Amino acid sequence: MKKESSFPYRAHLAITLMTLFLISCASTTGPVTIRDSGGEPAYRNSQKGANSPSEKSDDRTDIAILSPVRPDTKKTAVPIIDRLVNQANRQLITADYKKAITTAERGLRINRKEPRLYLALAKAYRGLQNTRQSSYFAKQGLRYAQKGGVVFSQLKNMSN
Amino acid sequence: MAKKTRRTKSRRRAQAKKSPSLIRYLFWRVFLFGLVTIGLWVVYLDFTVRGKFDGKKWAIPARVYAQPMELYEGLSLSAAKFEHELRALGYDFVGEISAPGQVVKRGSQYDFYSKGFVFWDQPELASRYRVTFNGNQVASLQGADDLILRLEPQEIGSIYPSHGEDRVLVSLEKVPPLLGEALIAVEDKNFAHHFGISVKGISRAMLANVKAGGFVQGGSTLTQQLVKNFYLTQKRSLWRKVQEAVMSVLLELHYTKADILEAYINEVYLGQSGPRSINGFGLAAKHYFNQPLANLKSHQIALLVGVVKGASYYNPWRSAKRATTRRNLVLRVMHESGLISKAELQTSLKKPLDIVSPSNKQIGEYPAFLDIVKRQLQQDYRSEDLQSEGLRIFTTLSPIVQRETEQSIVRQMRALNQQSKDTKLQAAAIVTAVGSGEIIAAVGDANPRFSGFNRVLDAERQIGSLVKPFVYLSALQQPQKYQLTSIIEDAPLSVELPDGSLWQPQNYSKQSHGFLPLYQALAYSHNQAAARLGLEVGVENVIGTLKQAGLQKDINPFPSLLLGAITLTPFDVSHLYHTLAADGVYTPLRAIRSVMDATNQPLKRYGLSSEPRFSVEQSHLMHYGLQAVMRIGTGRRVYNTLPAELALAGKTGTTNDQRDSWFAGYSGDHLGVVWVGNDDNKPTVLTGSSGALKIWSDIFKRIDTQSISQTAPDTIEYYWIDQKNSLRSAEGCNNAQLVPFIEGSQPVQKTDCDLVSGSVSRWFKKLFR
Repeated sequence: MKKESSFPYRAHLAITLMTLFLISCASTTGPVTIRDSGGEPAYRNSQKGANSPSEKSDDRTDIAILSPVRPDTKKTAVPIIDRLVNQANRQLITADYKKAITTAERGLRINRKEPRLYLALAKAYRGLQNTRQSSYFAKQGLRYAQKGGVVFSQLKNMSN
Repeated sequence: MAKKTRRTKSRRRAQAKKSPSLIRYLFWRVFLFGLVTIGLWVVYLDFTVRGKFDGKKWAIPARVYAQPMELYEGLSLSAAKFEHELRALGYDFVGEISAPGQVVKRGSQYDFYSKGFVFWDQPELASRYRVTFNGNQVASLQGADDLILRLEPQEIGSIYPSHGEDRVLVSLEKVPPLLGEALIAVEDKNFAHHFGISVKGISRAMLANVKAGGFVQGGSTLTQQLVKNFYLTQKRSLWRKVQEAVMSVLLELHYTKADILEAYINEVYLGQSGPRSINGFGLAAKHYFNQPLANLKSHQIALLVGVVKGASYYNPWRSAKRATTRRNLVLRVMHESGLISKAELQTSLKKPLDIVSPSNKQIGEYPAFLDIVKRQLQQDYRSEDLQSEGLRIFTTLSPIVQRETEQSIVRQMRALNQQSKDTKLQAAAIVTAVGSGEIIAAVGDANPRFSGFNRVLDAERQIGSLVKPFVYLSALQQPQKYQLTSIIEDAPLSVELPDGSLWQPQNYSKQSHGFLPLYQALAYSHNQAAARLGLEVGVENVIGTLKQAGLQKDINPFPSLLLGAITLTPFDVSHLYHTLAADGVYTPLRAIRSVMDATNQPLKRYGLSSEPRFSVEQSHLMHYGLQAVMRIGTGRRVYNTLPAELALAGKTGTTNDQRDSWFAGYSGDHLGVVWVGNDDNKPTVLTGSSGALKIWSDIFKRIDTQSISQTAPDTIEYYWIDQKNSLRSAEGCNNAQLVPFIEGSQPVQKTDCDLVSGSVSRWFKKLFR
């Protein structure tokens, strides 16, 4: 004997529609205010192929709407940076400050926003008694360090 | 009377008796005097010969190197660019590796044997490596013990004395034996046996000259040739010939044949590269073949030996046929002397000259960049030391970016000059690595190879609208008063100057645009809006902002400054914009990384130094404003050629009567500043957008560069703003624009939302609000 479904056909349909509705709502951006914690707003190019502008451009109809796009995903973490950070730290331990500076600078040429390299530079310059430059590098590193992290607090201490 | 006559006669007789002895006496006096004089002269010559030969023989110019290519896994680099670098470094593409400097290419995999190089921090030995590419990325790197594999840097020039002689010293043990033997076989067969001069050779030459009724043949030995080049002038006279002969004998008396041959190999003139003379075989090997001397093959050695007879006459680039004939003659002499086998002769005769192509002649071809290097070096070193102590200068130049910059200038200037018709436009460009402040390319003339007036450093021109970002930044430093969406007015204004005249700036279009958000006024480069804003925040404050950004010179606080009535060089502008590009951190721009002495001891390192000058929040807002220039404003032409997903920031600049066309712009990695105009300050037909920006776009299209990071600091929040009234709006509303604000400075009041119609997803979003 065929068992009868506890849910009638209409209930199935209602649940399906409800689910679709919820999924589509969940995929939207949400509230008006956008805090940039990974959303990383940018502009969408809507001007490609547009007429060549000039400094005299005053045509308001040309104003494009700048809208957020997905963040640039091309730039990925390069393992070499971790290795350079480790190397600089080893050189700091042995008080080989000049080599640590060379290593950190080499790393910053690859990724200029790596806070651990600024920390290494700050430590190295402090080791060389150049507290002014040490503090500048610490302040610079703070710009790129994650708030509340170990590197952040170390940089914070050294920036004063 | 008779008595007197007798006395006179006797005197005459006595005199007659005395005359032979007087003559003899005078003769001996003159002879001895002559002998002593000659003796002294020989002593003087001997002193000269030994003094110069024993001491420092040559002033050794400083050698200048580009930055080395650094390879690591994950590096964004195409195989084509890597291959180009290897070729520029003189690597040989072969079937099988047997020696340093060779490469085997198999698809996207390169096996190569590096040449080894003494870097400023450590020497790197010649080793074998394997680099594999996946698309435009280094997929794997094998053989590198270090974290990063460094290739040898390209030598890009030298700093040589004013007489122009340049050379790379080589010791005899490092000279291929075949070169020395071939030289002797061709130039002086009897070298091992004569004592400086060859009587036989001189007689033969004299006979030939008499027969010809003029000078057709020289009978000089290698020693005489060395004496002539090393101690004497090129003037042909009998007296100089005598001096040459005496000095040659003296040289042979004091020194061994090996010493003389080594000196000859380093001294001889072998070519010319612009104002620079190529002396010695060490440098000639690089000049003609871009190879170290030790790596030369028989046919290449033969060409160099052949060129000794007349570097200009046998110039292989100018007279390839003549040079080939001469080379082949040398090859035959080498075979007749038993230096090469018949088989090798036959093979060598068939070989091409193998000289580097004129476009690959690298040395001395970056005059603007080298000028920057020299001027930075002169702050720490005396000119004499730079020209004579054999220093090794490691610079920041990226040959890849330099090449692209040069080509873009040449390509775009051709088109721009066609537009300008009656004038010959000039140009300058400088590219800097953002963050490190390293100058990686510089071109100081529309003809990049022209070595003269360096516009990067010396062309002081009004900067026009390039100053505006600093006017706006001065305002944004007061976040409670000014935000990117603050409504400012673009309307006529009149300012009375101290001399009683009126300053009444106009927009380029001669029209005013009324009220508009601050970031749009910047994007469209409206003059009246910038002038009004600048006067509101204060001209002195704007000067303060410029100084914070790195301006070194003093300027008067005239209102016209707000529209760029200040003269700066492209180098100065790069300093200012680098601070913007590097998130508000000031870094002195530098072209040198390190200097070593001739014995490879480090002398000075030019490290990174930086100082945060603007807050990270202000910098973020400026990035936004300058990206708006590129997306909606005067710089939007850039996206005709560059990909839309590449986030770029920049500013156009045009001065009165379009005398100057500027563009300064940056990506995440690179900053480029370009100027186009006339040297005599005549008007052009160009704006910043239609001139300099075209060159800038062309450069940035061709270099590997990354977007400006859009990651905002924690203290920045993005809000949807209505572009018409600058009140809070919402996503999906008409005219809504997402704009960053420093926390707490955002507008509170909301506007009515006029929804964009026809979007189901927006309708859903609205339901959830």
